[in-house]
Amino acid sequence: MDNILTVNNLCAFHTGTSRSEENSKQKKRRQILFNVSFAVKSGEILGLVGESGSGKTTLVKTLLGINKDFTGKVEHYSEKPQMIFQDPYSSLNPVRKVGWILEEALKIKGNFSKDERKKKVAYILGKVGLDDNIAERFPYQLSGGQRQRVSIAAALITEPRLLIADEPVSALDVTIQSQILDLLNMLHQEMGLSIIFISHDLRVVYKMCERILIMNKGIIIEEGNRQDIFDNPKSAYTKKLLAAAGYYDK
Amino acid sequence: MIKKEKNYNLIIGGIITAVLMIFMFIGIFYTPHDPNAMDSSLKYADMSLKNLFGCDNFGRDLFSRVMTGSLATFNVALITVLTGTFFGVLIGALTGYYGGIIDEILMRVNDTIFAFPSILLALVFVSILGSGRNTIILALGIAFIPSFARIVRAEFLKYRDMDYIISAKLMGAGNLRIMFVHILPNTYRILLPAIIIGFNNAVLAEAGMSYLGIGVQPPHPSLGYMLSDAQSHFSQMPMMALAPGTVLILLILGFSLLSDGLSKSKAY
Repeated sequence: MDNILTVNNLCAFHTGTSRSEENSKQKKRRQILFNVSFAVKSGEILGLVGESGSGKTTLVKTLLGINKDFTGKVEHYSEKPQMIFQDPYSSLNPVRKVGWILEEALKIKGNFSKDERKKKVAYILGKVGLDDNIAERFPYQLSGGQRQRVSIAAALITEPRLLIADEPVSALDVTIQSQILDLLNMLHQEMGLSIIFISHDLRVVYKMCERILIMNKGIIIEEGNRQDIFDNPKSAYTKKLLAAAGYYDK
Repeated sequence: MIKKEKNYNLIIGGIITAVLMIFMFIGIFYTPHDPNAMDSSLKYADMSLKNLFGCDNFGRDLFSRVMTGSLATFNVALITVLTGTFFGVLIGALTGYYGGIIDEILMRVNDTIFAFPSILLALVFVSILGSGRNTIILALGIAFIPSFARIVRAEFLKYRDMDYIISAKLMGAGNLRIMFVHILPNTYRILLPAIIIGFNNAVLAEAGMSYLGIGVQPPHPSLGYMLSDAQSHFSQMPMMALAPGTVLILLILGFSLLSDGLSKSKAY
């Protein structure tokens, strides 16, 4: 399989005040990622697991080009990846209707007539399992699950080949969680979409991902297929994670 | 479901403002008498059907003068506030969105203007450019920029790192598009009441300036100028002060209630 994204020897930095010294004006530049290398194959769901503070967010920001302070190589083999966020309440512009939000991506990309845009919006809404009339609503009129579906629609309307999902279900109810996961799985299969699936929830990762990266303190600790990682973890950190989730007995 | 209470502030403020606006609008095309025509036979004439508010010391019809005078005041206030809002939004958006060194420089300039009393600023302009309507608009407009810039900057700071702004960036939206299409509409709940309060301040400031004789120039009426005129004739003709004063109060009251009502009405 071809790669859709390769990352080589990535070291990323973050400049800012840490929480403990918020009042001081001095900003510190800290290294967050240490020699991170991995590849995302076309058409796979790659799980990225790590506790908070492990550098997941910095990694994502670097991959998306938002964080520009890094050394190493990030190579995309497709158009810009799109992203869905953890909190469906802050990922949609509250003063805009759903239809506007979805059309905006097409307007920016250009060369779509008004009719084409409307058609695409209706199509993508159907794809994520929402009614057409949702387009006429504001985000605050929707439930958490519906909002997350809209976020997915907004990310996918320009037909990217790589989607980064940053804890896409951890803010949702368990029943809604499995609906959204099923939806992502379906889109993955139907559209040949590659997904980087970030989560701290091993159950969810087990359900979704064929290949898994375990990350801690800015280093990739372990990389392997789902079965290898869950049945035969090599590093002590992975064992600890699995044990904490009830998957592994010491 | 919460029972929807009637928003009396909005309703009453709307009615007062609407009535005043109608009279001002009519005043553009029609006034019962020429507001500047003098008639010595009507000097200090009492209220009557012919002269609704009576006449002033030159026999000019007070009702007509209030109609055109309030329009003049309204115009100055409106242009002032729009100027202040326009540049305030521009500066606030740039500083809030980009931050860094531009933010530091512009906000310190902002603080300097903010610390400067607007009357003093107006007097500086008047001494350079001469007194008149445009000078007042310019001076007040500049004096109004900092307060809007601050409000907008704070809002932009709040919104610029939201997930939906990041996702707009990922879609490839340019900085200007993000600032004015994605973020700016989010600020209207804060900005709109601020504009209305700013308008009230501008009405008062214009009246104050004209009262001091550096605003709208005679013989053209404005509310402040009419009030200053009325001073020496108050005992003979109280209506000379009461008429423009009442309209001034109503204008500000109407807009204050409107602003109050707007910020209470929950769009979402």
